[in-house]
Amino acid sequence: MKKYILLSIIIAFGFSFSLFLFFQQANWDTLNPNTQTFYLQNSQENDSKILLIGSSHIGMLNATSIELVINKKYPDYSVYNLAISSDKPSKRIHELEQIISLNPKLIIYGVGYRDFSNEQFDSNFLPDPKYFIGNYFFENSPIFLDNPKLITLNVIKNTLGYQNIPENLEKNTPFFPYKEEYSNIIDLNELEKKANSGKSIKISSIKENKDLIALNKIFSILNENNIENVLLLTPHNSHFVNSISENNKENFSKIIDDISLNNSFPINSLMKNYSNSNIWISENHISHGVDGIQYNNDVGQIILLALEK
Amino acid sequence: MLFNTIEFILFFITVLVSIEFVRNRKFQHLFLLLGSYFFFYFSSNYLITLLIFSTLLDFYVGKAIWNSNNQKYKKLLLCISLGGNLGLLGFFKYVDFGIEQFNFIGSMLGYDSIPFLNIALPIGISFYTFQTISYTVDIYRGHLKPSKSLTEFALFVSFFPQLVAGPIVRAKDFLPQLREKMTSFNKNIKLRQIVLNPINLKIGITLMALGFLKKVFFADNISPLVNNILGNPIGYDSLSIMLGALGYGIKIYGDFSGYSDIAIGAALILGFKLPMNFNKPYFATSPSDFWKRWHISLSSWLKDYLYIPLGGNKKSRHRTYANLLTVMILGGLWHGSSFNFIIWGALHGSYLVIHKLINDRIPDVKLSFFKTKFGKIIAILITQYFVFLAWIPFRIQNPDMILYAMEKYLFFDFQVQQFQTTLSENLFSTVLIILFIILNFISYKKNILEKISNLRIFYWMLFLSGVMILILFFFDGNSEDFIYFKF
Repeated sequence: MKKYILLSIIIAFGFSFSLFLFFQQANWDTLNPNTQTFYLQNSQENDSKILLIGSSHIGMLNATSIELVINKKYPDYSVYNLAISSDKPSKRIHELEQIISLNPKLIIYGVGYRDFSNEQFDSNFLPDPKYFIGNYFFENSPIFLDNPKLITLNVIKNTLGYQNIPENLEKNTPFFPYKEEYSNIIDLNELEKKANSGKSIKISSIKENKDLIALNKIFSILNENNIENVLLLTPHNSHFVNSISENNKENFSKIIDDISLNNSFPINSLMKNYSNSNIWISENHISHGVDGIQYNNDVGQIILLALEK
Repeated sequence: MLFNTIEFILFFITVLVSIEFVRNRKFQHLFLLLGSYFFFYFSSNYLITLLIFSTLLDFYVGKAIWNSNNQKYKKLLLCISLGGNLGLLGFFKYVDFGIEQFNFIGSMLGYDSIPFLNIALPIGISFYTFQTISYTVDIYRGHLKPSKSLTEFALFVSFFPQLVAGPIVRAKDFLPQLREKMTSFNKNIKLRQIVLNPINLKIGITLMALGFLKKVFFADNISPLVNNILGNPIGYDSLSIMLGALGYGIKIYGDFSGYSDIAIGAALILGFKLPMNFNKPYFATSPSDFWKRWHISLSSWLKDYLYIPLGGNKKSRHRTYANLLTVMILGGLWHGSSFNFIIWGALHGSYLVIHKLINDRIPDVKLSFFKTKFGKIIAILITQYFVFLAWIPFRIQNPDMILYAMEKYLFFDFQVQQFQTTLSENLFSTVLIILFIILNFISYKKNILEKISNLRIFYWMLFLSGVMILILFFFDGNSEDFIYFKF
């Protein structure tokens, strides 16, 4: 009897997990319904592509205005902003194959403090077993189980005939829909309040940081495919930086050192460039409107430098 | 370690396999103890020292109380145990709350404020300190013999299925289970070994599956609706607030009773019977009935170790009312060092007092309506209306928001159109609330656990697959903490 019970548990596990993994992989694109269309269309074109990759920090960049800066010297290049809201290297790694299929000439990968942050006990002084296990699963996971629920709900919606494609998507910024409030500047005092009332970020050390592992892997694969990279440290408001503990800042700088050691490409930092300027729409994001033009120009110059090399 | 993570599943399989292959009682106990410590260490790191401190304190104090003939000395030892455990609980759970109040009063008197200590709350401290306290008090009262073995006592305190969020187990219920004579499993062995018994395995897995379903599928997916509405209720209409309160009531029930089911199921697979913690609480017909059905191990603990020592209902009527109120306010404070929990406790205390007042003042004949079938339904609806009202201050911390939400809940504003928007924005969670209510109704008369456990193996496998599919497909990527971990 016990054998039958154990066998049925194993079969139930096996069946449901297989079905789940199959369903997730088959419907991965529903997380961003525009993804498949974009990659399919653009992998066929032979233009010289420069890709901006990262989270909403990068999303605030205007691909068209950067392209204008580049085209003054290099008229054949097209700039695409592939930022995704709340993106992290450990998520992006699962889209790498599609990115490579675009055959880009240069990739600007933007990262900030949040890209390496996670939930962690700061005060633990004994070894923490969950990181060994967590990293093991991350390294060996067949797919990244980011939000299975979202995929399931999207499939249900699609089946019922609802459209998931968000509005306000630009052709060269296919995954980051713009909203009007992305141009609304917030007063610096208000920013200070926001930065202090928000959740403080926690960055785990280089050995335990799954986003660092993912980012190094991304760069190594891109390198194997002869794609040039530039790491961009995205700008942060001073109040936000002040709200991060010294320990976390130290972990972040060690992470950047580690990337620098493992790779030969240039690292450009805009972290402190506009930290006290009145161009912020939140404690982490520069305005997408005219106030953020300097950010676009600076990224344009970084790209020009990289192309010249 | 969270139950709803792959780490726990791996850990649990390792424990089961080890116990199945090494059938030596002493090894099994030691292995379970070390496994439980690893389980706790996984989430709590160095805070495991507090668990060990509480274990050692009560093991030796309990022994000393039992061996002493001097009543005064026994009392002193009891005070040491209470001081140690409540001191631990008070320091780690309430010190910053105390500093906050001190600073508030101090600022009015012109004193400088004291900085907060920002101490991390040790997971499960409210549960294991209550277990060790009950052990020592029971020995002091002469109701229990102390445990002869430190390993057995330590296992009672730290047994991993119920370590971090209960049920709060009494030593007199648990310790004998470690020493029961073998009857049905293996006649050659005199003392109890842990053997994986097929009946326990099937019921235990079924219970765990139902627990996971309640927690991961229902509670975690109803959570967005609750966060949307009760996260900041200002501006929401009455019906939306009611939906938020209903959602939170179901979420906390799914979360906590789900945890209890997993704990009881996991313990049962290992051959241990843990007490039931919930018994269809949302079918309670009165506030006192509710407390016989909700978090039963805590309410019975509070009754035995607080309400009765205070005099219970053996003294004057007014004293009884005061005792009820005191116990419920302290019960509220047990949940967390915040005023909203005190309000929640005070509300439930007042419900109990009002219910007792009605029973004391109005003759039984006049209340006989509530014993009819229709009357019972009315009694359930009235009771639950107030129970769900009390969930508002349990969920919300900000006093202005509590007042706003409670006012909207109590005084209907007839803004139906706004409610439609709330519904359309939270469609999936609303569907789950309705589904949960339907399943709750079905389970009222039928013993679902028994029915499922008795299914033929093929259908049982289909049930397990169905549960797993629902959990996996609707998992949002974050293993949400169990609410009671914070208490």
